[in-house]
Formats: sequence, structure tokens, C-alpha cells
Amino acid sequence: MGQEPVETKWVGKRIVRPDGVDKVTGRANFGADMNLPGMLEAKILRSPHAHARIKKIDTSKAEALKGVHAVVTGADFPELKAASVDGGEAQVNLKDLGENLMARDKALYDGHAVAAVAATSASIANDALDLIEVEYELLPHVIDVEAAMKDDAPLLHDDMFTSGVEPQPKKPSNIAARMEFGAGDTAKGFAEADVIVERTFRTAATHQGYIEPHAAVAEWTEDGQSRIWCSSQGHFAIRSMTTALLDMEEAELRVMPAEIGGGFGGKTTIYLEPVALLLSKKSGRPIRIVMSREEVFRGSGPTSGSVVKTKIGATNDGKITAGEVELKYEAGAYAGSPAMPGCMTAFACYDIENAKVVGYDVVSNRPKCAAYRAPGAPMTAFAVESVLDEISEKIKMDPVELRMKNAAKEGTRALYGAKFKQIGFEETLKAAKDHPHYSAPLGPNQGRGIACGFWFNIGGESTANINVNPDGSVTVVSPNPDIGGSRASMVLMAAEVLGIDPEKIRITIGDTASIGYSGLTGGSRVTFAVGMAVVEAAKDVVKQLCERAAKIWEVDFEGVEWRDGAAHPASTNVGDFDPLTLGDLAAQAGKLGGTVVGASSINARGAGPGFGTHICDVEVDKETGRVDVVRYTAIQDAGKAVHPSYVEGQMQGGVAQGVGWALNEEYIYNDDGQLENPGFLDYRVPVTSDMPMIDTVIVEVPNPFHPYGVRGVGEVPIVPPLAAVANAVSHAVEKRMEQLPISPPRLLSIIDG
Amino acid sequence: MSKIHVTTSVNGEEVEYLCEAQQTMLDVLRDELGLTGTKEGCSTGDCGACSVIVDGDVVCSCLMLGAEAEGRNVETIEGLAAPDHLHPVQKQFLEHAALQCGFCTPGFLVAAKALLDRNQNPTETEIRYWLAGNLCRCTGYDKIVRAVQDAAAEMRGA
Amino acid sequence: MARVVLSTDVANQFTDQVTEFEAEGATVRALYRALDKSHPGLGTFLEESTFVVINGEMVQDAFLEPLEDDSEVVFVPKIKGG
Repeated sequence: MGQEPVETKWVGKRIVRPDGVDKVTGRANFGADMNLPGMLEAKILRSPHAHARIKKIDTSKAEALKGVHAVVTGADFPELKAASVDGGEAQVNLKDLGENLMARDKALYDGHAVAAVAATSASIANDALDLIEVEYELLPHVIDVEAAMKDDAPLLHDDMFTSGVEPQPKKPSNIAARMEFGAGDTAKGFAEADVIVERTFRTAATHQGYIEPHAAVAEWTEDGQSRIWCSSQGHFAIRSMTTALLDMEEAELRVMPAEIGGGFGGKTTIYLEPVALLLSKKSGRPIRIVMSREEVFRGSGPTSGSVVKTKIGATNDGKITAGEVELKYEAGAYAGSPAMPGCMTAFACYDIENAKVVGYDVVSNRPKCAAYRAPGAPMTAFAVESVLDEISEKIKMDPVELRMKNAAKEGTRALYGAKFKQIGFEETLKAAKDHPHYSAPLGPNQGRGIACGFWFNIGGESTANINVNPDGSVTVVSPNPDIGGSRASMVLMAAEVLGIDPEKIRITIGDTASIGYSGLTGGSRVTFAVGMAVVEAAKDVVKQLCERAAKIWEVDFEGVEWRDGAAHPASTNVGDFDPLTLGDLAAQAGKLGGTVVGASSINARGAGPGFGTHICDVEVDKETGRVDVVRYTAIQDAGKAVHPSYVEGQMQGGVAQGVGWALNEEYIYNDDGQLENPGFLDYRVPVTSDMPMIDTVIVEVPNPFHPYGVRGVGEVPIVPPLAAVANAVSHAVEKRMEQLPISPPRLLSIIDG
Repeated sequence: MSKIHVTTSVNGEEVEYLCEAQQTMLDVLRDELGLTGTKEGCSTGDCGACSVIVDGDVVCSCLMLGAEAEGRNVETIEGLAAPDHLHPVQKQFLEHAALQCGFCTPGFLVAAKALLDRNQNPTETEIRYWLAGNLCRCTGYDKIVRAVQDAAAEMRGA
Repeated sequence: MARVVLSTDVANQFTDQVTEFEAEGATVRALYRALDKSHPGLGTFLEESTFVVINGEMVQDAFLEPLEDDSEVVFVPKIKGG
């Protein structure tokens, strides 16, 4: 039997988030809200060309404009070394990072930064950009991933030799890497199949679409105490990347976390911070840079567009006998698409004996892609879950039943190697089947789709400090930006261990000088991993308080137990003492050796995989091609929902992003390789009137490696919707959707044949 | 270029400021008046993060010039709560966890307040279309719509 | 002796396509060094580019984690979330 759920008093309660009032009154300070005395505004000049050699940049006219204080180009940055730097989750290539931040020899995409200006106002800075003269030599460009893989494609990097191919090619190409995972013998598996479905699926590049544009304020000081205020998914990573690019020591830069207005993976890297700091150094003034929405689309994010070929075979009684996937992901201008996790997640929901997955990471003249919520997984899930849907039609089996028959469970070895411990995939399928939505009747022109999804979830380096104040109230210091309510979860977990009311606890996000290093707010890790650090720090507090109680009572440490916020004698044998509350012990802290400070630094292990099953109903207007999502139910194993409202919120938000990805969102390029829709009017994300209520079911199969059973929840919910929506549309129009987005013109042309 | 002198009312208080001809109301609020609760998400009127109420109507302050505020009545997020209590829609946003990152929240609250000022019993569809000019990327809108429904009920005394 | 499990890619590159085998190492760090000896470059490659999963638990990075005789040590590519 698996691990049983843990009884909790506070974990699982829906408290009001500690930062809530600030956020509903407009008091919360986001990246662009910072204002320093004497601050200048900076703007960035971006390449209008998809691929061009930069022959010369003349900034003299811009520098001469009244109000301009500094101009920088790539030449002002220290020379880029071949090295890697900590990116908060993984090492990143310093050279690519620096060249993407500001082009050196070549501009590799429309929107690539080439220079920056600081001036007394934003409008003067914008005027100055027009005065910078850049001499470009236009080069042939390539946008499409399959075109970029061709032998005669324009080459972005003449030193790119495909890795993962033995022997490594001697001729450069746009294919950065090939990767492969396999198990069993797919030829044998397909021979055993009664039915085989093979199709090629395409998805467009989509942007994370956070509503807050990137923003940074920087103040360089000559005595090695520079400061940056910015919104990011991890200020420690901002510090490591910025200092590496500017040849500084990490202690020379203090990064202050602003509130972050959405990230979804897109704020895990740097676009502005080193530029702002360099302009500050050059001008001697604090600098603020705020991206426009157009710059956000042209210069940051997005995630890969993809081509995913999928072939799955099954017997008539629903056993999957073999599966193959070949995926090609757009990396943008530099290597690093999420092709690897795309491969690893492709079949992770299922126990398939014979499987093979091959992936390609391909560069082309697009913005360098950034992480986007379960990076790489939604595209392969779209392909695999669509093919499974078609197989269930062919063998006339209920689609949930088909998945149930092949579901990964405890003991299943995923294709990427790990053998699952206790997981909750089957429970989500069962919950889907039992949900009234699943058996509700459909109206005319409506279709229902179901799809499943997986994400690993991660742990990693995490810290927490807990200060016990003299009056017995408590302050928690967390090292990770709160992107979606994590302060509330941290407080609940601290309250659980300390045995006090969450109202007695306040929480702050520490800057890089105030608390030890922690990884990113990403990978669905904060509530799990940083939460574990908070639990450890709270246990440290309890231990110190119990030690003090033991000394006061003159008993052994083992004779003291902590419950309901107070030290009690562990048994009547210990003695008859009145409990010493946290408040009692805090009030005497000075007399007992000083204030009580709990601290922890861990590399959190035991992240528990997450699974979800979604049900989607759509209605198709066959005259216009418009698709309306009319009902949606998302089911997910959260292990243990620390704050159920915010777990539901993650699920609902992931669904909406996935619906946008499926129906409308796409990067559209013209023949010159310029982005044609860099704004919310033409890059259409779902609005309130596009969505129905999103029903959620939280399944709780505890993660055996977490004190409360917690699994990460943020990423799984964006994995199933692409296929859930596409399967629903496929049923409504009785034609298989192979390409996203299913925008009205595309669907209309499919309906019309 | 000389600046324009403007006298207007912001959150019920008379204010005067000097602005440049091209400065938007959003720039004036944030940079001249220090009211940074109003957010810039796009500056093209597509996202609604900069929503303010001008003479009772919801306006994207990025599409209005600072000079146009002369003699008007402007309400921003900073004016929504009374000193001792939150507006029902603010309270319900907190109770429902209707915000995750909180960046779009001021715009949603201002727009929702304008709706509830004129219609204290809106249907779900009315709420959804009224708020269709405000983008949220975190929540999927479910909890926002429910919060507005409950705020309406609270204001009706239901 | 721990049981080492590699992905197809890594096996292609370092172990003549053998994906599962036994190796010496009292800790994860010792295992890396042993693998460097038996298959030049393998230990260093795994140390830099993979997470460690020991007996089904995602340990990620842990040099000092002790390994038992029947430990199953799976190396999976580092995972970068959003």
C-alpha cells in the first residue's frame, strides 16, 4: 500500500494571501514601479532584420541629442568567454546569453537588441534611437523549423555542429542537437498491433503572455555595491547571469525582487538587467528600462513551434504495443529549445513496452525561446493524445478506458529512465470517468475531447529563515519571488510546524544579500522545495525552543515535546510543568541566549511527478470557423493541496493558456522574417468572454517524499488542453485536427475540405 | 516645448499638474502623480491593466492624454478602498483568490467597480463581456467572475 | 555495486549501447569517478548534464548520497521547468 495522507491543521486551508491587500489596493510594487532620485529612462534599439551582419554602428548623433546621457552597444560589454553560468535551474551558455542580450557581429532575428540609450525621459530616449545609424549587411534568413534543417538552409552559426550524432558532423548546420530515447523493439510492437495510426502534428510558436512587460531599475556604484530592482522568477539567477556578463563578483551586486506580474517561465532569463547596469555605470545615474509590449513579443520568450510525427499501434482490446515520436522544435536564434523534455514527456503517462522518441533542437531566425510552463511537453502531448483519441475511435473503445488500460502506475519505468513511485495518474482518469461532465449530453455542433498530461516537477536548492520576534509573532523570509500566492503556502506550512495561527506569521521575500542562494521560481518547485525549506527552518525553531524549555525545566531535551504552539512535558514522568508557549519563550529569549532564528538550506529531493486529465466540450460555428469552449473540467493529482484555491487557480490558468495555444495564439512572420503581430490585438490571448467557468477536481495521492505529500502543480495543467481542445473539435467536425492554432480561417478551410 | 497646466480631480481630490502634450494619462498618473497602482501592460488599449474611471466610464488611461483630464473626475485603484475598509470587489477578490500575480488586478477591480456602480445584478455573461477588455494570463478568469458575482451580491445586501 | 541505468543517447555515446549495468561506488560522487574510469568521460558527462534518481527518488544532485549494493541509480537529463 502507498503512503497515507497526513493529518494537518493549517495545510489545506484557504487563507487570504499575506500580500493580498497590497495587490488589491495598487500598493504592491512591480518592476516598473521603482523610482530613484535622478533616474534616467532607457530604451533599446532592435534589429528590423531577421538576419544581418552588423558592419558598423554610429551612435554619435544620438549621444549629441540634448537629454541623452549614455549609449551602449555590444562593443561596450566585456568580451564573451566560452563558459557556462548558473541560470537558476541549469547552466546556461554565457556566449549565447550575452549575444542574445545585445547583438555583437550579427543580428539573428527581428527584434534582436543592438544598442541602448539612457536619457532624461523615455521620449528623448526614443528619439535618440532614431539617430543611431546601424549599417547592416542583409543575409538570407530562415524561419520555419523544417526549412532550417535543410542542407542548403541559411546558416545562423558557422560553429554549430549537431551534438548527439556519432560521429559528430564536420559540417555546420542549424540542427543544434539530436536526442533519442528508446525501449524494447518498436518494429516487433507494431507487428503485434491490430491498428496503427500515424500522423504529423504542427504547433505554432506561442508567447507566455505575462501581462507585466519586463522591467529593471539599476544603480551602479563605484564601490562594488551595485543594486538592481527587477521582476523575475529568481533574483539569484539574475545576479549570477548579470555579474557573469559584466565581469563582477556576485557580492558586488544586490538584486531586489520586485513583485512579478506573471512569468510562466519567460522571466527566468535576462533581457535588461546588464544593459541597465552598464548604462548606469556609463552615465553615473540610476537607470530604468521598461519593455513595451511590442518588445516583449519581438525580443523575449516565446516557446517553440513544433513538428511532431507520431505513430502508435494498439491491439483491438486496447493495449498499446508500440509508439514512436519524432519531434522538431524551434529553438529560436540560439540552441536550447525544450526538445529534450518534449522527448522525455511524450509517453510518460503510459506503460509502453516498445517505444522510441527522437528529437531535434533547431535554430532559426526567431527570438531565442524561453521556458514556458512545462517546457516542451504540451506539443508532444498534443500529438500523442490526438493519436490515442483516434485509436480509441478505431477500436471503438472509450478514450478514458484506453488510457486506463495503459496508464503508468507505481513501478512503471518511464522511457526517460525513472521508475515511478506512488503516482496518481489512474486516480485522475477514474475521477474523469466519474465526473458528471463526462457523461453529460452534447448539443448540436458540439464535440467532447479528453486528454492527459505529465510533468516531472523538480526540487533543488532552497533556503528559508524564520525569525521569532520578541512578542511571539513570527517573520518568515523566503528567497523566491511569489508569482501566484506562494507566500500563503509558506505561511500555512510554517504555521503547521510551529503550531500557531497563520495570522501570527508574516512573510517577506529576501533579496540576494538578505538570504542564501535559492533556485528559480519555476519547474513547479516553490511550494514543494522552498516549502520544504520553510518546514525545515520551522523545525529548527521548534528544536531551539524545546531546548530552552528543557533547560528551564532542568530536564532532558527528549523530555520536551512541541504541540499547539507550546513546549509540553513529553510525559508525566518528565515532571509537572505548565506549558511554555512560543510567546513565553520569545519574551525571555534575551535571557536564554538570544533571539531565536531558524534557518535552513537544502537541496530538495523527492519531487513527485504530476499527472492531469482534462475534459473539454467545444461548439463549432461551421459558418465562421469559430470555436467556443463551452465546458471544461481539469483533474489533477496535487499530492496535497497546501492552499486549494491557488492550486485550482494554477489549473484554471493553465487551461486558459492551453486553450489560447490551441485556438488562436501564434507568431506570424512575413516573407522578410519580421513578426507581423507583436501586440495583444493581433496575438489574441483568451479574454473573459472567451472562457467558460473551469471546473477543477484536485486528486490527492501523497508524494511519499514530502512531509505533507505535496507535488508541484503549476505546469501539468498546460499539458493536456491542446489535445483536449483539438480532440473536441475533431469530434465536432468529424475531421482530425493536425495543426494549431485552430483559428477560424484554418478551421473553415478544413470544414470546407 | 512648454508644458500644459491641468486642473482635475483624482479620487475625489483636486490636483494640478504640468504635463507634456504627448504624455498619456497613464504616464501622468504613474510618473507625475506617483500613483503607480495603475499598470502599463501594452500601451495600445488591448490589455486593460491601466483602466481608470473617468466621469463614470472605464477608460484605458494609456489611450487618453494627460491634458484631456482637465475638469474631469478620475478614479484610480488607489481610490477604491475607504481608509478603514476595502470595497466589496476588493474583498471578494481576496476571498476567492481571484489574483495570482496581481498585475492585472487593479485594472480588473476598477472595471468591475464601474460595472457594479451601474448594475448591481449582472449576469455571468454581462460580467464576462464587461471585463473582456481586461487581460489576465494567470487565472483563466473563473475566480475573477465569481468574485465579481459575490461582490454584486454583497452590495445588494443579498 | 549499484545498478546504473542510462538513456539510449548516453549509452550510444559512452557504453556501446548498454543501458543497464553494475558499477562500484559507495556514494554518487564515487560512482561518477568509477564511471569515468570504466568509460572515459561518462562520469563527468553525467555529473554535468543529468539528475540522479536513486530507487525512484529524484535526488537531482547529491555527491554524498550513499549507495547500497541493490541501489538503482538512474541518470536523467536535467529538467528545466517554466
